[in-house]
Amino acid sequence: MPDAQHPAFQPLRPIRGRSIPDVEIRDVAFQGGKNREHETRDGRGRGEHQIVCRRPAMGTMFEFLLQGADPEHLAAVGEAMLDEVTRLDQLLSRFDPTSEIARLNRRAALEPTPVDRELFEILLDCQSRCRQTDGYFDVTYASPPIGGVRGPQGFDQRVRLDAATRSVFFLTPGTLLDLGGYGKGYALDAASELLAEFAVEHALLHGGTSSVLARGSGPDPQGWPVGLRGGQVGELTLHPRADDANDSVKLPLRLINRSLSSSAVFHAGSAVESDLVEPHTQTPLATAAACSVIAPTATDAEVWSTGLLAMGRRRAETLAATWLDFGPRTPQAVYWLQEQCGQITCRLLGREARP
Amino acid sequence: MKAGHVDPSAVNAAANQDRRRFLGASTALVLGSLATTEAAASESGPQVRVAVVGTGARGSDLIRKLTTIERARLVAICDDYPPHQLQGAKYAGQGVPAYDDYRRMLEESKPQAVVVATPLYLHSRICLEALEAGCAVFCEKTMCHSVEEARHLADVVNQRGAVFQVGLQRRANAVYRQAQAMVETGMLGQITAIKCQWHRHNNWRRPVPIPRGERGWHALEHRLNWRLYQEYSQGLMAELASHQMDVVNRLLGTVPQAVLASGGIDYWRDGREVADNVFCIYEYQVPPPKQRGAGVSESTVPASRGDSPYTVRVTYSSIQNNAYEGASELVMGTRGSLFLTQKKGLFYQEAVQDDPGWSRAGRVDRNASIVTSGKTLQMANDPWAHRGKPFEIDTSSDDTRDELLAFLDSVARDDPRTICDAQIGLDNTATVLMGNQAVASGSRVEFPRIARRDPR
Repeated sequence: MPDAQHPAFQPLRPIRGRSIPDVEIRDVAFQGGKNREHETRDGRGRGEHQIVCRRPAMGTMFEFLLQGADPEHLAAVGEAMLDEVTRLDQLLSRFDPTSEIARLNRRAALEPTPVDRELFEILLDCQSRCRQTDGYFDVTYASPPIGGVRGPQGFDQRVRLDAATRSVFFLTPGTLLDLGGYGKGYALDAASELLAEFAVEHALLHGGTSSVLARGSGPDPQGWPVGLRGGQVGELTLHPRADDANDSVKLPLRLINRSLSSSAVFHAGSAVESDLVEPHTQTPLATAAACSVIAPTATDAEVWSTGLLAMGRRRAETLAATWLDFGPRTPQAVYWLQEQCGQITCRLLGREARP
Repeated sequence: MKAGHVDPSAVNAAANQDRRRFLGASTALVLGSLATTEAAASESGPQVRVAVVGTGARGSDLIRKLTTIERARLVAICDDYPPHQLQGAKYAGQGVPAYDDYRRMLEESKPQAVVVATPLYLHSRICLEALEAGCAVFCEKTMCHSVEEARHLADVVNQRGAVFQVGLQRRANAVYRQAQAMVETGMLGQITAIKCQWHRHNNWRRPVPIPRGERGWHALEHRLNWRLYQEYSQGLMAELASHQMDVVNRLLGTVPQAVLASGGIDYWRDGREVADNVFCIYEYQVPPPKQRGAGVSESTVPASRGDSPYTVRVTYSSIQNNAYEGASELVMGTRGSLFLTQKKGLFYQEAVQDDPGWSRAGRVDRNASIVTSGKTLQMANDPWAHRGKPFEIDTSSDDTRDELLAFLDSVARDDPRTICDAQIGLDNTATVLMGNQAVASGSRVEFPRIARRDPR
């Protein structure tokens, strides 16, 4: 750790657009701008340590905070988790030409292309998620429109999965798979499996701060403190362009063995532009809004926050009020943030009956 | 091109012309980012029955890649550590028998080809038994734990005429294929130095599922973190340098003559037995440019020395607490520098006497102003000035998958000329282990006699 008392010391600050909403992980002094590092600090529990490790992947920064008795063990587990994220990035990235997804995007329109078991399972899951969300969560959203076809244009119209040969075939030329958002959730879940395998009871994981996975409760039995910036439960209004001092955590949440994901469309002219698309019309989402979902796994949270945001508040509200039976995948809470008359409102759209 | 009975100056002139033509053509090809060709071997063909021994991290990678290749039929997997065996079985799929004893696996599943991805100290033994069973073998790098083992294994492979491939996947990588072509055609001029590094920022330690100090921890630590202990591992040189020193052997077309090295355990003092940082200087004796065919730079080679072999020094370093420039090789020639990584290559032309900067394509405007204002000094003082805008070499395929495709192709054709045969594996083993020997002895070490092609 650098010597903060040294007269020449200046803390590094993350270079990141301040925009709302965003998930802020409190209790951890993140320092951006560095490639990766391990930090060890005393946890609040007796004989407990926390380490933080980070690595850029999937176009963002993954950061893991692990808590336990043996810092060397925690560092090794953290390293294995980061390696797993890197592996999945190389499997799922649409932008890395050597990835499996890139190979599919090049070949699968020409002939049925076999993939490994893991990727086949992932694509089957994407197919079923697309159906569950009425086509609003669709990993083929980036494909060009199918000419001369009226009616739905989604995963089912574009991709055929054949379980017998474990192969993928694009029914329409130009089909593009983009597992960007799904991959982030999936990577956090995969990393979290290593926590279980190597007996780390408490950890907080995030990918690009928009997806967070909590394991255990952390130092506080009430859970890992995580907050949504720029909103609050109910209709409380905020100033959208508040400076840092006022833009503190507006929606304090506690996570225990849960994941939280936020998807957002920012207003025009914002420093951060959204790449979210309404999959049925293929138009970029225009209304500045955000949807945050708490769910059992990071993949669930990622899928639902994206899907609900894409379907718009009215549909999302209807769906959340009458939670269809998705079994263990059902989100536990859905928050909707929207800008109205220059101010931001945040509303709890739905919450599971039994917490 | 043979220079024997021809007037050397005429050969030079011809070579010069050839080179210019090539440069012209290839520059046009390279400009605007060159996507190199896809896999050399065909996707389709007769099926090969493959078994995989060792299903840890690397073995699982290989299983996953094999299951994307139609001509590979997985018939068995083997690992004697249950969690790894389970992991391998998951990726291999139901119906692929899982073994904990490779001998039984060889006997019962009767594979055509065996993929060996075990800890280094087991390579030689398993490869020999698989060859004995009549199998083709794909052995992960480094080929063997000692030069003696590597010599013996290479001899057995040769005697049997077996199909044998070492997993140095840069051999199948399009970036490195292109690099070799550029070196051979003289685009770099005369290579005078190479700098290789594999710098990372991690402790190279794998997690152990039971707490330190508990019963059984020691055995599991040695099993899972075998890379850190000398009994099983040859450390950074075998696990990392092997890939890059193979690139050097390939580009220079020979093996090193000698090496000086230093290394130690200086940062990760956690009980490991292998160095956490190593620095080597290898010396290669390279034939004179004229004997290596057309196209090597003429005016930049001093005329008096043009006919005798010359020394190329290659530095290699690996550290584990700073990841700047990661895993990369920088090939320095009189006409340019080639910066190589697994996914991208960058070629920077050198400003040389017969190649004034302002004549270079794409730099007309910038250099025109330099010519008119006469401020060349300003550019020359800029440490980045020589870099200019690089030509890019891209690849669009995964080299691990490609090396497996090439291997299966060799197996199907029963062709022992694999893309990385046992002789290359022996050269590579000797090259990296002489580095370790130099670290241990603190003195200059020559290429081991028993690894030479003509041991005198």
